[in-house]
Amino acid sequence: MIQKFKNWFVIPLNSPGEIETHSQRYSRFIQYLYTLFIIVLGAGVLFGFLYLSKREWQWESVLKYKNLFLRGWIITLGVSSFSLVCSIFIGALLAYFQLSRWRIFKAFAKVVVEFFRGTPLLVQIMFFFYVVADGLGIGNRYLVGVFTLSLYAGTYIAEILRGGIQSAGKGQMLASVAVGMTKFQSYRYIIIPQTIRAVLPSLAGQLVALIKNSSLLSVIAVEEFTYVARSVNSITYSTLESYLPLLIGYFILTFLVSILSNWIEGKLQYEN
Amino acid sequence: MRIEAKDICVEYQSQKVLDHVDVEILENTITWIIGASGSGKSTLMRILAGLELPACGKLLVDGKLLSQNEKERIPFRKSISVVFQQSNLFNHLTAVDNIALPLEVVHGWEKKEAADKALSLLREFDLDSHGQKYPSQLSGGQQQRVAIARALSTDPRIIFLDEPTSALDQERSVEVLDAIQKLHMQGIPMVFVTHELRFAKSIGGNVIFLKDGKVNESGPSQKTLQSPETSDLKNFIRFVDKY
Repeated sequence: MIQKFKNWFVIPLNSPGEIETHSQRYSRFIQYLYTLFIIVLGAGVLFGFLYLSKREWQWESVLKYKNLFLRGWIITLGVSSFSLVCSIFIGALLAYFQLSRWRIFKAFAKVVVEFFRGTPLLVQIMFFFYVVADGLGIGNRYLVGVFTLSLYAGTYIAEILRGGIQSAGKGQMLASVAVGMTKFQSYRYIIIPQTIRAVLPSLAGQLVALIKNSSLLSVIAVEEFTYVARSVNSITYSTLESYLPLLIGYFILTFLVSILSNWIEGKLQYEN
Repeated sequence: MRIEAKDICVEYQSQKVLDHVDVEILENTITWIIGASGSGKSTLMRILAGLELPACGKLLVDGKLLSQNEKERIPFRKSISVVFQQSNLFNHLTAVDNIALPLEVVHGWEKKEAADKALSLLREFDLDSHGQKYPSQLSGGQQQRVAIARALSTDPRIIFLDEPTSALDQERSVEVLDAIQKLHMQGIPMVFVTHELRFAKSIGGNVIFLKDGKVNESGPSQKTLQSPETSDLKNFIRFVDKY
């Protein structure tokens, strides 16, 4: 009885000695209640401050541009999705290069990773658009935006993947070779599935960062979500009203990534 | 399957692990590789199993030279099985899939056939209730028995075992040795790297004693272990049997 009461506050240990008083499902349900409680509490505090500030809201002036906001949000969704796919591809390629025995590839990957991780994305975007793309005669800002964003995120993903592949370990590689697998089969059936499971949480974090970083594309006038907010602000002078929708808009996108990653993680569970 | 290793040498960081070793693995018998830690016995086994390339020397399988090329060695690897000290099993697969996947991917079996074979092997090694468990949910002894079941699944011409019991306590070791005895009863040739001298004596076969990267003494196991000729082997046996 006391144990049951205690479990309402503390997650029960999963050790053999502990008497299990709650099913896992029930335990998860309690946790959801707590989450709900924190959300309600947070919302209460937020509205409390809004009430205290006695601000006169100018929502009408901003509401006129709701279609513009929607369009910006969709562009952010599009740019992020493309960059997401490209960055994973670039990350995998760079990780492969880093683990390669070819010195030239190893050196190339090292320099690219260090450069893109070590410099501000904002400057990279401007440099690629105004210098590199201009030099090549490419005028499409969306193309340049997706490219730069993918490269930037790709270097982080490369490091994550490299760590993941190495954590799968020599033992697993040796075991797969010993059962007669080719190198390709070892990667396809053993190393990569284990790597995905190991890197998923940090990969999801990186993808969330990518979505938020896409807001920097506004500096080269990619008409994404943040760009729209800035434009609306310059017309209406309602600063907070113009920027607050970003909070909700970006959260919807990043929350989708979290849900997706949790779902995949659940499917790939193989450890206690 | 007859495997001959000729003039094998291996160096790790300018340390001689194997120093011009000649050994012959005879057909249809069990070969024991014994020696102190660091004598090069595991390295020798990996060379014989075609998993590692020596710095010099060559490997003959049934009189034919085994290629140095990674791809060309695969047919040989498909015809043998290896059980390591630990981490044999694929962490992300259940016991059943650990046995079934190589059958499907490497040997081209149908999914259903492979799963059936895996289940029947698990039953043979008293593991039927653990088929859907992942390696992390099995004890060390159970993991090794699944590895042995997998080694058997492909009808190998020879099985290599690299100290399969050394990471286990006594009780679990006995479970695993029982499983290996079962393999022996089925007449499967083996190369066994081990410290279990009593087990070697009871089963028979040939023994190769390594000392400092060289073959110090070899011969039929009962005779060699009963009355060793070199003082090194005498000392080694006395040391291993001390307690």
